[in-house]
Formats: sequence, C-alpha cells, structure tokens
Amino acid sequence: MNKLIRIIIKNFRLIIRSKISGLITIFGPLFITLLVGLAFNNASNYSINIGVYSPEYNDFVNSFITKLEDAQFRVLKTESKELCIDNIQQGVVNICMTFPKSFEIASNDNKDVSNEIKFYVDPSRMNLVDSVIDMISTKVASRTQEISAELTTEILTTLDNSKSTIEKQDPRFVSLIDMNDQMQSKQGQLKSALGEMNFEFNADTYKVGDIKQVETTLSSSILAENSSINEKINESMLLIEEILSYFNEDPALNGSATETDLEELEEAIVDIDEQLEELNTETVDALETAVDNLETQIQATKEKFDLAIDKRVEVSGGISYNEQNLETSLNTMMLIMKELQDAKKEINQIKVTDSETIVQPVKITKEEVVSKTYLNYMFPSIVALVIMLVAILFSSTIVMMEKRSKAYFRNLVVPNPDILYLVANLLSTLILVVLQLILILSVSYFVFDVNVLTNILPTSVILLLITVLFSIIGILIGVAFNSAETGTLAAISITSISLFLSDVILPLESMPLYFIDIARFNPFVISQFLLRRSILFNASLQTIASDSYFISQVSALFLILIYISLFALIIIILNTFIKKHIIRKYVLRIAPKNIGKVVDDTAGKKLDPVKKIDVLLDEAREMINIRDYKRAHVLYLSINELYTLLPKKKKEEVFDKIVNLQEKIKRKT
Amino acid sequence: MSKDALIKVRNLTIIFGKLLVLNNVNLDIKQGEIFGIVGLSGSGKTTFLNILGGVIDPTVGKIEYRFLEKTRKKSKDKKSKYNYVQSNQLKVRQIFGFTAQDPSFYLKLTVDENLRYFSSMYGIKKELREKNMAKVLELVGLDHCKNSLAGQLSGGMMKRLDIACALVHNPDVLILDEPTSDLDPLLRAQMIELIKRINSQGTTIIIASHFLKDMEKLCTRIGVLHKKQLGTVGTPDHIKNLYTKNEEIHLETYPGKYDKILKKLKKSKKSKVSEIINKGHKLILYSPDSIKVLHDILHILEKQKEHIIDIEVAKPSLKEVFESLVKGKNEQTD
Repeated sequence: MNKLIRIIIKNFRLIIRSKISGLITIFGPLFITLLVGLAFNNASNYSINIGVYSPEYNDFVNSFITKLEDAQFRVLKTESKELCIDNIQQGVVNICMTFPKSFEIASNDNKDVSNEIKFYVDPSRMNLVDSVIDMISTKVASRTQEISAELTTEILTTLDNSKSTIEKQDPRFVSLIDMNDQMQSKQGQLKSALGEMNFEFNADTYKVGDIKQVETTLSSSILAENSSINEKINESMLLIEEILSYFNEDPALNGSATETDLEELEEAIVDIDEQLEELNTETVDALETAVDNLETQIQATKEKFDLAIDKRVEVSGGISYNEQNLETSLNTMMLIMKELQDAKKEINQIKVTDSETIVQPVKITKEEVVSKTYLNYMFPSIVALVIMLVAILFSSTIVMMEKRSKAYFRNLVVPNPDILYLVANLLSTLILVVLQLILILSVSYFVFDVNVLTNILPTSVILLLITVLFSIIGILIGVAFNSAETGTLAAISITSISLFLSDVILPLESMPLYFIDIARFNPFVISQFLLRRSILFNASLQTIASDSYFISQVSALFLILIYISLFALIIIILNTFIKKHIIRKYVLRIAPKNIGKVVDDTAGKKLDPVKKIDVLLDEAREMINIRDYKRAHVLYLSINELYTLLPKKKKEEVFDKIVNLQEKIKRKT
Repeated sequence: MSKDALIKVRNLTIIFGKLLVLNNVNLDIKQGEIFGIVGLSGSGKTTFLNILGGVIDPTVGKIEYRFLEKTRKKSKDKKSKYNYVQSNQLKVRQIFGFTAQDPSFYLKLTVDENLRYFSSMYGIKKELREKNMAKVLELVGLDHCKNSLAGQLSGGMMKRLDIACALVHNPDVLILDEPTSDLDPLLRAQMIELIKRINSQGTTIIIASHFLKDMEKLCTRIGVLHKKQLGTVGTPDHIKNLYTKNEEIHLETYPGKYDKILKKLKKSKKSKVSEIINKGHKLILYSPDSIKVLHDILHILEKQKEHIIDIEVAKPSLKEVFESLVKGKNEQTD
C-alpha cells in the first residue's frame, strides 16, 4: 500500500511539475466544461445569421421575416440572390433564403403566382445546416401554418354559412313541397271537375224539325182554324147580318138594344177577325222566326259546346302537363332537399372544424422532461467526454512519461511486479478524474443549476466504472505505443473516433445501420447511455444493471465490465512484451536491424527451442569454417544443454544435426 | 572456480531472436571484490550485467546467488546456500543495486524525493529509509543539494545520484554499467573514489566499462568479453603481463612536426617500434625496447630542431593490452 501511495504521489508530482502536461490534463477538461457550460446554458436558438433576398418586400414576405426575427435569428436583407449566396461562402450568413417575385398565396384565379421559398446552404457545414434548416423551416412552416390556418378558417366559415343557409331553406322547401302537393291536388280536382263537365250537346234532341213541323202544322192548323174561324165569323157575321136584317125589317126590333148589341158584336167579330187575321199572320211569322232563331241558337250553342269540349281537352291537357311538371318539380325539390340534407349531413359529419387542427392535425410539442437548458441535456455527454478525455489523456500520459522517463530502468530493477505500476497509474487517474468530477459537478450544480445529486449513488458507481474503463484504455495506449508523439496521437485519435462514432457531433441514426451497430459498442456511447439513464432519468442501479442495451440480455453496465476485464488482460499481456522490447531497445541497445527479430520473440525464451538450437548450430558451423574449434565446441555444449530440455518429438527433429556437428568437431580436433 | 563465490555464472548463453549475444559464459564473482567487464561496443557487457541483475533471462545457463548472512536472515529460504537469480527475481533484485549507462531517476523530482521514492519501492521501513538516505547522500556527496531537482544537477552529480538510488536499499551487490562515461577527468576521478568508498563498505561491485584506464585503477579483477565469450579473467596486472611486453612512450614537442619525426624514426633500423599512434598533438609509441627508442627519438628531435614539451615512458595501459588481446584473438580466429 505504501508503494502504491508513493507511486501515486510521484505521478502527481511529475504531472504538476511538467507544467504543460499538467495544464492540459488538469485544466483542459475543466476549461472545456466551463466553455460548454457557458455556451449551452441557455434555452434560446443558436446565434444564426440568415441572409434574405426578395425582389419585393411585400407584407407577405415581411411576415416571414418578422417571424424569424421574433425567433431571435439575425436577418440580413441582401440586394441580390447572388450576394446572398456569396455571403454564405464568406461565412457572413449561415443560410440564404430567397423569395420569388410577387410572393403571395396562389389563388384560383392566379395560379401562376410562385410561392416557393428557396434555401441556400453551405453543405460543408453539414451539422449546422441541418440544425439551421430545421429551425428556420420550423419558423417558416409556422408562418405557413398561420396562413394555412387563415385560409382554412375562411373555407370553414363559408362552409358554416352554407350550412346555415341550407338549414334556413329547409322550412321553405317543406312549404314549397306542401304547396306543390296542394297544387297537384287542386290540379287533380280541376282535372276531375273538368272531366265531370258534360259538354255533350245534341241538337237533334231539340227536334227543331219537329218544332218546325209543328210550327208548319201549327201554322197550317192556325191557318186552317183561322179559315174555319173566318168562315164561322163570316157565318156569324152573316148570321148577325140576317138577324140585323130581321131587326131592320121588324121595326119593333129596329132600334132595339139587341140590335145595337148585335152590331157591336158584329163589330167585335170584325175586330176579332181582323185581330185574328193579324194574329195568325204575326204568330205564324213569330213562330217561324222563333223556330229559326231557336235553330240558330241551338246551332250556336252546339258550336260553343263543341268549342268548350275542345277547350276542355286543351285545358285538361294543360292540367295534365302541369301535373307532370308539378310531379317533376316535386321530385326535383325532393332531390335537392335530399342533396342539401346530405350536404348538411356531410358538413355535420366533419368532426374537426377547428382550422388549427385541420392545418396541423398532429401537433408536435417538445416537452422538456428534465430541465430547461441545453446544458442539462448535454450534461451526461459532457461528463462522459470529460472523463474520456481526462482518463485517456492522463493515464496514457503518465504511462508514456514513465516509459520515456530516465527512471524507467530503475523501476524495472526494483523488486515489484508490473501490476503494481499499472494499478498505481489507474488509481492516479481515478483520483484526478474524481477531483475533476467533484469540481465539474460542483460548478455545474452551483453555477449552471444542474441537479446531479438526486441519483447520486448509481451515478457515482457508473462514473467510477467509466473512469476505470477509460483509464484502462489510456493505460493500454500508453503501454502499446513507444513514443510519446504516437501515443498522444493514438489517444487523440481514439477520443476523436469515439466522438465521431457517437451522437455528440452527428446523430447516430444518420449513419448506416451497420455503422450504428458498431458505434453502439463504442465505450463512449455506452458511457453516455449509462449516464443519461442515471443523471437524466434517475434510473436505479438495479434498473440500469437489468437494462438490456442492444444485445438482448446484455446490459450496458455488464458490457463496461467486460471491456474493463478484456482491456486489463490485454494490458498485462502487452506490457510483458513491450517491457522486454524496451529493455532490448533502450537498455541493451540492440541494433535496430535485430530489433524486429527480437520483437517477434521478445523473451528469447519464447523462441522455439528447435530454432534456438538451429541458431547455435549455424554459429558452431561458422566457427568450424573459421577453424575456431574451441568456440565451436563451447557452442556444442550449449546446444546439448538446450537439447535436454526438448520434448521427445522435438529431439528427433534436431538429433541428426547435433550428431553431425559433434562428428565434424571430432574430425577437426 | 571458487567455492565461496558470491555469484556463479554457469554456461550462460543468450540469443535474441536469431542474434547470439553471449555464448557459454562462465564466471565466479567473489564477495567484496570490484569485478570489471571490458569489451568492445556491442560485445554484450550490458546484456551480461542485465542478466546478472535479473532484468532479462538467459536463453541457456544459470546464475546462482549466495545470500549473505544479513540477507538470509530476512529470507524465508534459509537452508539453501545458492539461489537461482531467474527463479527468485524479486528477491534477488532486493540485494542488487543497478545503475545503467544513463542515469535512471526522475528528473522532475528532487534528489530527496527520488531517494525516498526508490527506497519505498524496495519496501524499506521509514526509520531505516531515513537512515539509509542520509548515509548514501553523504557517501555520494549530495547531502547539500538534496532539495534540488534532479534535472538541474550536473552530469557528475547525476551519476552520483544514480548510484545513490542504487544504494539506497543497502544492496549486497552494486552493478555499474559505464559509471564514468560522459564525465570529465575530474569527475571520473571523483567517481572512481566514490566506487572505491562504496566497495570499502563491503559492497561487491560489478562494473562494465570501456574506459580501461578507470577499470585498471578500480577493479580487483577484470574479465574481457570478446566475440560473445568471456575470455581471460584476472587482475589487471595479470592480464597485462599475459598479453604484452611493450612499453608506452608519450611524446609532445614544439612545433610538433610529427610526420617528419616518424619518417626519420622509421628509417632508423635499430629502433624496434611495434606501433605508432599520431594523435596530432602528440605521438604514442609502443616498443619492447623503450630506452633504445628514446635515444633515437632524442637524436631525431635535436636534428629536426623540435623542442620537447612533454615526454613520458609508462607501462602499457590496459587499453593497449585489450587492443592487443582483441587483435590477437582476431588474428587467431582469422
């Protein structure tokens, strides 16, 4: 333990006294954290300059620009599209946004209007471009959405008004249909009444011929009677005349009243006769006239009736036509009403009548589940990054410093196992990382308001494991590389590769699938995952341990442990080889041309014993060639000693050669 | 082979890949001696030391270490007299102190922190640690700058700190790989003194160096590594007598027209000069008859109007012996 403490103290003294190394390894990560903390401890957008070009800045264009300015983007209006693009190339703006001429919403009447916004980006700044496009598109989409919402509201209002109008038409339609019904009914009645009207006129039924005949007969009769009456009157007159002639002849009766009366009677008969005469003539004429008139009238009436019949047919046809039209009209009305009802029903069936919802049926909202600043989201990554940087750089640096140190040889000859130095280096790194973490976590907690204490136990365990893992990786780098330059390069390369194969710079998901699978094995990615689980989501150690990472049944925590064991084993094996290589190269200073050979067989022992014997046999033969038989004999003794250590099969391989050498030496001596 | 050897090396062969580095080396190192290993660059000196210290394992052969009484008391394995280094690496490292060619400690730590750290790595208790630290700091002469950063020390101080780090756990054996390289003559002398002082306190020292002069001054015994094998082993004088009868003449003159001097010397048939080295500012001559050669040289110098600045006649250095030895061996093999 005392030895461990001494080595650790020594490590820290060396690091502190190597000012630049100390500054880089101790203050570098703190500086990074401070910068990252200050840079990302906000919730606002990046400071992005947007170049804008529009041939005319109408209200519609300005509404987009205002939207971007409201979102804290810096908008720079340019005079031309080319200037705007130039500004991207010169880095004045991050993105260029161009509006077409007469930028407005395309109406039905004016479909030629262009409403396309073009973005010009610098693809060499891919990470920024994606973010910027995403952010600006969001803002532009937001304005577009607003416009879309306005248009949709307009459509919806119209639709609503139409629905109201349709609804208002309902009673009117009902009334109209009723009226139509009534009219149809009346038409039926009229038609029926008209049908019932008998315009049948048979002039024969008036028997005008008979009347005429009767009139003729009557005229004949009257004339006959008149003749008869005239005869009677004449007879009466003759009688009277005779009577009066009696009276005139009888003076006694002459002059009497009777005579007078007879005279008067005679006069009356004459009058009657005259009147009768007149009557007969006039009556017959009147009768004739009346019959003629009657006949005329009957004819006229017949004609009228015929006309009435024609008109009735015409009216009846009209009524039938009207009836049909009324029927058609009713059907049409019914159809219209049905369609209007359907339309209303369909309008009613539109469940979503909110324009915002129609424009954006699915709302995307980012809920800040953990905290308010980017630093919070990035904190696990920052911590993992700091641990990775400090642990790899510090542990590789101290191993490398040790290897380059003049004291390396003395540490080789002290009676300590190699593992002691490895453990001491690991503990040194752990102490440094723990100190830095305490500082980082304190600064984050007190200055940047990052809460890391809620799940302190699992977080501490994970931090410890991660630190051990990265320290071991650093030690491995330190052990594997001989020069400080290549070692540092390797350390930086490995940290860079780890960063690139993580989602710190670009999302993992943007990589090909097979690359994602590889990247998930990246210790840094695993560390990020574990720290996110513990710091952001407060997962317990038990939960984290049972979390399957991406290989079923294997948790990230277990994967870290596997890595630690694997790398530790590699370090122990590699260290044995590298140590011997260093001894030969720097302590024994064996010529470089032989180093390659030595590396293949760093221990000498590792060389196949048969090969060793071959080397000695070659040397012995060389000695015989130069007649140094004494040395050849000495070599022969060494060969014999090696031969005794060989297994039986190997002995058979070299037996003949050794016997051959022995005979040669014997012959020469 | 000594029965009381502290370290026994037997049939040591090491192959790196297809490269045979050491071949069947046998050696005994006695307790309390300063044993030097010399050899050309790439001859396997450092490899040999690292195998001795248990840093690397041999391909063939074994190294046995006899625990001293003080160590055996701490050891659980009290019965066995010798232990294999390879099978007791951690235990053996406890009794070895090792300094490599380059100082091995933390430049960004102070002298005190380095010693404290490495003593902790040997698991020494606090009281003993403080005592050992004070002792080694005084021994290496760094007690006045124990709070200085190691990286701010001079080259010699760094070497001494390195040795202090190797000694802080009070080892039985101190292995030093090129301890005097990269040091100026004054510092080298100081380092030699330091090593002698450490040895005088009972620590067995094994040194590998190509500074043969230093080795000659320091080592009680020397072994020459050549062509993957350990050749002659013995005291410096023994080795010198074994391999050469030449004497060494160092000559420095003004204006120093050494080419002309050499031309004249070569014409002289009486002078038996086995080897001449013209270093530009001086001449080094090897001859089995140095008096005759000196006589000839003085005569030539007088004629050439050269003024003697310095002239020295000495016994051949270990370097010359080593070169002779290597050359001889090469010739033998050729």
